[in-house]
Amino acid sequence: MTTVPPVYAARLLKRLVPTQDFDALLGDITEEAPHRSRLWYWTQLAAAFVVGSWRDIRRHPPLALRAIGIGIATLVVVLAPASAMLRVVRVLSEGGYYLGPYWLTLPPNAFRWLPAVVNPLAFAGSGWAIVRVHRAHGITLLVPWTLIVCGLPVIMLLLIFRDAQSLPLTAPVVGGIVSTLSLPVWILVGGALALVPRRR
Amino acid sequence: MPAPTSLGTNDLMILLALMRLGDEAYGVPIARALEETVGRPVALASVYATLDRLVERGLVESELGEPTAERGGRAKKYFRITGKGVREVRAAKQSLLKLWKGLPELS
Repeated sequence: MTTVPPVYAARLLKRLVPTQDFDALLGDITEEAPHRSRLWYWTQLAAAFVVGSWRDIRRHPPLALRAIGIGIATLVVVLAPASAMLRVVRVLSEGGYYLGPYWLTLPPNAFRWLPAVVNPLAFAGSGWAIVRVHRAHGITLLVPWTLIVCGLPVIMLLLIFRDAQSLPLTAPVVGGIVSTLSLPVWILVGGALALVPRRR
Repeated sequence: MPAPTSLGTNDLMILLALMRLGDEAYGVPIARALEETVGRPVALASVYATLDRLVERGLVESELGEPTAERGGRAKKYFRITGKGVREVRAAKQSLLKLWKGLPELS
C-alpha cells in the first residue's frame, strides 16, 4: 500500500513544535511514506511530536516549571470566583432569595451542572495561558502540565477501584470520571486555540 | 588500556550503521539498517534524537545535501562518523569482547 503524505500534517507538526528543526526528518518521512502504510506515516509524526517535545522540555526545565505554575495560577484565578458563584447558584436552586418584590430562584439541581461547565473552561484556560506565554515553544510546554493533570484521573480511578465495594457506579460517579478524564483534552484544546493566528 | 566506553546500545548500533553506509548515511538508510538489525519499525525521530546527541558529543558530524522534489523540497542531512567516534566504537568492542570471553556458552 502506498501513501501520499498530507502536507498539512507536516505543517501542523512545525506549528505545534516550532523550536525543533524538523526539515530533514520531515523530508525523510516524505521520501519513505510512499513505500509504507498510512499508519506508519502517522506513527512517525506522533513520534516526532513526542521526541521533539521531550527534547524541548529537557533544554528548558525552568520554562517547564513556569508552565506548571501558570497552569495552577489559572485554575486558582478561574475556580475561586466559580466556587463563590457555585454557592450562590446552590442557594438559588435550593430555595432562592427574595429581592424586593421578586423571588429569585433557579431550577432544582441547577448547581450540579455548573462544575461540568466551569471545569472544562478552567482547564482550557490553563492550556491557553501556558501556550500564550510560551508561544515560541508551540504546545510542547503543555506536556508537563497535562501529565500532572492526567495524574489526577489515575489517582481518582485507583481510589474508585479500591473502594469499588462501597461505591456504586451511579450516573453522577460515571459522569465525574468521564469529566475528569476529559480534562487533558480541554487543556490541549485551549493550547491549540492560543496558536490560532489572529486576523488583522 | 582503553577508557571505558559510555556508548549505549542505540548509540553503538547507529555508529556501526554510519560506518557501513559510508557517504550515503542519512535518515532513511540509517533507519532501514536499524530495522533490519532489530527486526521492527524504528521511529525516525528517535534516530535523529540519537544522532543529534552524538553530534553534540563530537562522535558524528553532519552536512546538508541538496533539496529534492521526492522529499517535498527538503534537503537530506548526511551523517559521518568522526575519528573520535571510531575510537569510541573500538573501545566499546574491546569492552564487549572482554565480557564475552568470560561466557563461552554465548560465543
